[in-house]
Amino acid sequence: MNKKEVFYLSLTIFLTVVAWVIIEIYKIDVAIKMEKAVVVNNKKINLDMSIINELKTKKDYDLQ
Amino acid sequence: MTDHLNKEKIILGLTKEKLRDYSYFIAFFLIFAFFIFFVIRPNLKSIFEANLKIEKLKKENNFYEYQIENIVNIQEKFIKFRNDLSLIDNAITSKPEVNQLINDITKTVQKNQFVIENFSLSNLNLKDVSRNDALKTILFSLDIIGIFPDFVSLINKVHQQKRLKLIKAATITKEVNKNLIISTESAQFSTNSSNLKINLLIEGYYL
Repeated sequence: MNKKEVFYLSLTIFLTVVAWVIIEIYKIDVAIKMEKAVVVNNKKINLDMSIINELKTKKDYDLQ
Repeated sequence: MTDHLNKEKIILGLTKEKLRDYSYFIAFFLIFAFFIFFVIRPNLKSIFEANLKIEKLKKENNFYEYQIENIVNIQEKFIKFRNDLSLIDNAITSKPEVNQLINDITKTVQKNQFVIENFSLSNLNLKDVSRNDALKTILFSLDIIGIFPDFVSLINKVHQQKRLKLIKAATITKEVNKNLIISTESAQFSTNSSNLKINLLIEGYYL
């Protein structure tokens, strides 16, 4: 193996490692963006207690 | 002598600029690739993963904050209406308590001067003991005879009762007495108080 071949081999290794790192970081970055884009549906529970006031007006049969 | 010449050739060859450059680049690429893989990559990865975790935790925090707020609101309302919560239990009982429904309906009907012709109930499964919180219904079908003002009063009375009931449908037909010959004068009076045959579908509820 002459020096030129070793040079290309080392260049390939270097580029592969760089590409690998870039892809890995890109994947995490996309996941962060996806996480930001997904909106959590926070449902506010509101109990309508007006039914209690309605029920207060009602009577037992015997008292009608 | 030849050995000596070879050594000199090799030293001369190594000092050539072209070869020196290759050696430098090979060393640079290999060392830097190693450095990227074992030093830069883990650090970068941990930074981005930390950001991802921060985003996820922000969302979870937001979600739990909302839930806590909901619980506090509900608790506040329950405390405020604690004494009146039994009204809901009375309105929609946990057991069918059909006798109470029948009693309410028949007595209200009779009190409003109606004659009950037919009274049946359906949609009741006493064997069903599943404790799901879905609302269950009992359907009563009533054929009654009476006059319209009393019918209005009956609807109001049923509406005012503590045990919730829904009048799902009411079919009103005029009762015609074929044997009766009505004079024009008496016919004018008979329009207000003529008997109506009413079919009522009343729904009662339990949990």
